[in-house]
Amino acid sequence: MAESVEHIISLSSHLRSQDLLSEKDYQCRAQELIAILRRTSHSLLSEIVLTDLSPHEHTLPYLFVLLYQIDLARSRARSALPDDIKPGGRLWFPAVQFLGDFKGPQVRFAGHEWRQLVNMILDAAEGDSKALLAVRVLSDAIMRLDQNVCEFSSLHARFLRLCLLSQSYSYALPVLDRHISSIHTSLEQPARGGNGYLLASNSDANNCIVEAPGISPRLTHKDVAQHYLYGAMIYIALKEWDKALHWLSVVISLPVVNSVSKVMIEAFKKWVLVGLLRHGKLVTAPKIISSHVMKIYQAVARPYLSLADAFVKSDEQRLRTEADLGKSVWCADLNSGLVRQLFQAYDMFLVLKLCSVFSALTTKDIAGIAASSGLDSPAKIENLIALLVMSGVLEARLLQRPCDRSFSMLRLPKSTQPYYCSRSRMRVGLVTKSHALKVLTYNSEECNNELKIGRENIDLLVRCQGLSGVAGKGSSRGSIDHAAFGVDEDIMGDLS
Amino acid sequence: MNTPPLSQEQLAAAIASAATPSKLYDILSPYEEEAYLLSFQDNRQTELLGQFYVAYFLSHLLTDKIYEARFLTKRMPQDLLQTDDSLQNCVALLRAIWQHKHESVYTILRELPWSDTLKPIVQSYDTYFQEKTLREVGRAYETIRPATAASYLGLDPAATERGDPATIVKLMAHGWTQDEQTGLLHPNAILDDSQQDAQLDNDISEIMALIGSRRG
Repeated sequence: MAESVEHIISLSSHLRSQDLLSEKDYQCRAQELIAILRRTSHSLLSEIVLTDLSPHEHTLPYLFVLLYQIDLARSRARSALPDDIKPGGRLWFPAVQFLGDFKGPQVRFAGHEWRQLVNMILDAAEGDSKALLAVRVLSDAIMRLDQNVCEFSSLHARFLRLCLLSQSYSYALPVLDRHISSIHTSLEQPARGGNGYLLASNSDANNCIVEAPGISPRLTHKDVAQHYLYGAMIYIALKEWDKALHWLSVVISLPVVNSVSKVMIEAFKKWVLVGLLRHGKLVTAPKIISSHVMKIYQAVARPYLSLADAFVKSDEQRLRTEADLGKSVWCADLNSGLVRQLFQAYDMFLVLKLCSVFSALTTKDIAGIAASSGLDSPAKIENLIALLVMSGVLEARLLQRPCDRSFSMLRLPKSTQPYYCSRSRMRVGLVTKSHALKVLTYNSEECNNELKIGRENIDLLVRCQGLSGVAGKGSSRGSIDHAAFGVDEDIMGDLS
Repeated sequence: MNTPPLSQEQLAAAIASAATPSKLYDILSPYEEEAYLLSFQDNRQTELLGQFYVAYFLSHLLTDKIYEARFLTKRMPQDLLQTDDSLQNCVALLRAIWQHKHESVYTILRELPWSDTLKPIVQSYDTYFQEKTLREVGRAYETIRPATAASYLGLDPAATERGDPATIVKLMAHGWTQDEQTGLLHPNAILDDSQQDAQLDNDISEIMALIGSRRG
């Protein structure tokens, strides 16, 4: 069929009524439109005016026309980053508008082009030192494209880096708080329909992006490690220590062949410090880390481990000495901020330790024990305890005295334990865990189906076995050859 | 993208119309990129930008986003932050909040100059901070001297010490009691989240149902 603007717009209009089309029909039409747009001449694309199109209603034509105009601006200016593309430039706003308004199900068929546009936005914002301008645009775009499946892509690490550069940490949370449940490897070949077009996954309407083989950027060990390290750094900035620890433990537990990557070493150093800030001690390393990797970590992070040792042993003097000695190390590793926070945490854990032992104390008693750390007056202790209680870290009650103002009494109810047990925190924890559990069960079910050990397959197998039992009583002709099924009841038995 | 452009009128309308602090935050948040972009223009409207950033900053505090408020001060144009008096007030306010210097917080809110457009939000934060502190003091203290309570709540500790009944009356209105013999105040215990128990039960039921459905 002759390609014309009208034809393109007409095909695009058909895609608007997604609900009226069968999934297969929708995929075929989308693929047809993309094939036309990919082979459309520049002169035809130049006939389409961007402002006449809505990125929501004509997602695919808008994307291709926008990319054509970006290419044009680049070739005219003979620069990869012409002014038109930079934040605030002529093409910046249509690009931002597109990423905030496109239809995810359509774009998943044009992953290569979508990624081109996203990379352009990333390059322009970073190149012009205005990273902030791209952060929420990209967060929305990633969420819009991939609402359920949470596929990991190389874009994730770049996006998190942008959040770190622009110090817009909380804007990363919508993407960061979703559990990655799918990693597209270069070995997987996307399914093709009878017409030869790529098929989107049929498990969900908003499923992951479909890439033509060879076009999808190959994910590397470094991509994954960087993603989790950047994510942890964002959680560290927001003082969400538990999540930071988890993300760092993912990095330090990554499989290695011989050497340990620099990213993993950096993660280990942060992991030591975050463990101290969260738990007041050196947390146990994940068992999955092999001993030779652990030895490497311990060798390269010696100053951190000495610092942790002083912290754990409540040796305040040594802690200060270690912190001073390692100043250049913390600076070079960009961990000075974390080390600084150790001193506040030291005071906090000192008080918490005492509170876990006694059921009542005076601020004078605590001041006597904590004198070496600078908390030498009962007034300072009272302020610290009031702060800990007010911020929900400690459950205790202070009793001021009417006449003697030199100290106050601290009462620690036996039934209450610090911090971890408060109802609201438990509630938040439960909701988070239940979400994680849902994602996990959904994906394990998918896995089961792929491995043919899903509920349906098992039911079928059981029915077949039942039939064979019945048949076996009368005749051996109908018996089922179990070997043909090849199902071992304990499929992991030989591994245990 | 569909929000009207940032202007003095738009900002004043947003401040006046937002029914809750989180609504104010939601209204102002989409303007951050626009304000940031405007700050690079040669003929930028410094006053408008300053007022926007202060209002946005205070909307963070009003919704307890202390860390985000800190990051906002890092993200906003630094030359504007250094030269705008109200933004300097914001930095001082944040420092006082972070260091738990309650008296300084009230001094900054009440005695430093704020523009007329921003005064309603500053006042809202004063009230919010006072109420939040009242709850927190109630949780932290079983008995407290009136002067200490007054300093936490932005009332006059010296006058309270001299026997001015204003502080006592105000606190008793919140259910606090006073021991007549010792003069000590007994804060009202506030920790009661039983209303949320139903939600907690639902959450647990959902999880148990999920686990149950996976069995076998």
